[in-house]
Amino acid sequence: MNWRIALPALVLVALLLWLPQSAPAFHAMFPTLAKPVYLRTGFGQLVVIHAGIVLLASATAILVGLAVAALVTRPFAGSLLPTANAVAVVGQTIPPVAVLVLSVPLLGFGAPPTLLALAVYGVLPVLGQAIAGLRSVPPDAIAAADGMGYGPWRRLKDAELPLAVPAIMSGVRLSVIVAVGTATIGSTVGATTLGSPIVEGLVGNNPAYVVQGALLVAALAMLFDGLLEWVERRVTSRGR
Amino acid sequence: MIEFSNVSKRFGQDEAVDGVSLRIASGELFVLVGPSGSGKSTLLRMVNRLVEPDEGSVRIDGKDVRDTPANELRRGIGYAIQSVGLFPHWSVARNIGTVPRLLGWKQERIECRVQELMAMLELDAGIATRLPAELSGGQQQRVGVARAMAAQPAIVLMDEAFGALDPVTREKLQHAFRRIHADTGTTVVFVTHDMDEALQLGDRIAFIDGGHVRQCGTPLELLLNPVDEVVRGFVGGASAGLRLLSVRKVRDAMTPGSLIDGAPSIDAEADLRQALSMMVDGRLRALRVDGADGQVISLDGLLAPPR
Repeated sequence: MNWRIALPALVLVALLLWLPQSAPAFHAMFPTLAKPVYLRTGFGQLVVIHAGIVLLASATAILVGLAVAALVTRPFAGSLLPTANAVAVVGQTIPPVAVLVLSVPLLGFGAPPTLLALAVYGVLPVLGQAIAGLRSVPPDAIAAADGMGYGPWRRLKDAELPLAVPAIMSGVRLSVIVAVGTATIGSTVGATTLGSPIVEGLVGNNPAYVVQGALLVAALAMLFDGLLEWVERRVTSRGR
Repeated sequence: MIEFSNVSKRFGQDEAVDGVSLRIASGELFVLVGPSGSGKSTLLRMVNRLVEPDEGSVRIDGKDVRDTPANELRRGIGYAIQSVGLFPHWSVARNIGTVPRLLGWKQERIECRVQELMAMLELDAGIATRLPAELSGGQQQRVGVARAMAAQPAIVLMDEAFGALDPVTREKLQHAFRRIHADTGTTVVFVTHDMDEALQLGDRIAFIDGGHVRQCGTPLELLLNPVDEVVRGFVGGASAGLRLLSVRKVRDAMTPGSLIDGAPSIDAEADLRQALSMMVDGRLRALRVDGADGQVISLDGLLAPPR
């Protein structure tokens, strides 16, 4: 039993069961509110959409990040490596909300700009960590692979990527967790996510909505973190 | 047969290898020995095209290595290096089976070969599922050698392959390797900076210095007739006499004679250094030779000029 997965999962399920019937409790906390529970979209639906956006954006980000990292660490791309590294490092200092705002003119309002912003921003930690991981592969392993007649592609697939997995996984974990949080901001540009009750609560002066959205996002983030930690342990344990 | 014809290689300003010609016979255990930076590893790496010569050519059985695609060539040549370079994320068995897998062997055949190699290198079958990090240095090195020999290559290249081991483990592995070489008939090119190792292993030795071959010959030739002071200094020095004993076998120096009953005996295949050690240890002037009736090895035999 992995409590880092089980506990947030239980909390999430409990919240989903309790929140629709939580009107008395929130009424007691905030007596002035006429509608103390967010009803526009079901909480279960919000969780599913939120998780879906995060998974789709993160999957894209991981694929792109790994592909670019693998490309720029090839000897023939030597000059691209510092650039890619700089992009990965400097890019992460730009707040995600700025990326979100910039993608609205491109794609309009709603889920598409949120997906784009999450995917673009999510590439950076994966890219940075994957480059670091691939560059730290023991030169001996590479020399041995070359000497045994591995082609460049098989060497990458069988030796370099598996050896870079611990670093790559830490980038993936960071990327996904940031995406879970950042997806809530997507609601400011019209995407339906767990940020919807938060944004509506802030705009409409309804703190109960904010609390409801925040509780669910927190539980979801911890669940993702627990799952990724489990994946990380699974894929790195063979290396020890 | 491996043939270097007048090969040269420059790295920037440095002449790493300068006009070397060598001929290595099939089945030979050929040692390239010399100080670090002498160009011996560069020479070795020309055989599997990890280094391409600027001038000259390397031929295997008459065929220029450049005529075979690099990866194909390398899969047919075993390669073991000092740092071993085992894949840390793969089990011992999987590491050993690397090249057979690249060559597309069937799974049962690979498993069979891995077991055979582990037995040959005296590796306990129980470690097949372990990861390299869970092995001792000596075991890792043995796995490295097993991996190099896995696809039954006609040629094995070894670059300081026993370099990182303690003397006892190293000697054991040298011993095992000589036996394996004798059993398999593989052509081995072995690079080392350790003259004792070169003398111990080599059928023939090329002494490399400054990118040139200073001398090439059998261990005995190098010890008895070094061409110049550099070679003399490297092969001989203070322990020249002991080294001379260590490259000769009891069989080559035994003489007819008789001893009192109960005198200790030595194997005919042991080297003369061991014989001397036993004599000093037992305060004896001669030893009985096992399996050779009426033959003894005596102090006079040790001192007689090599036959």
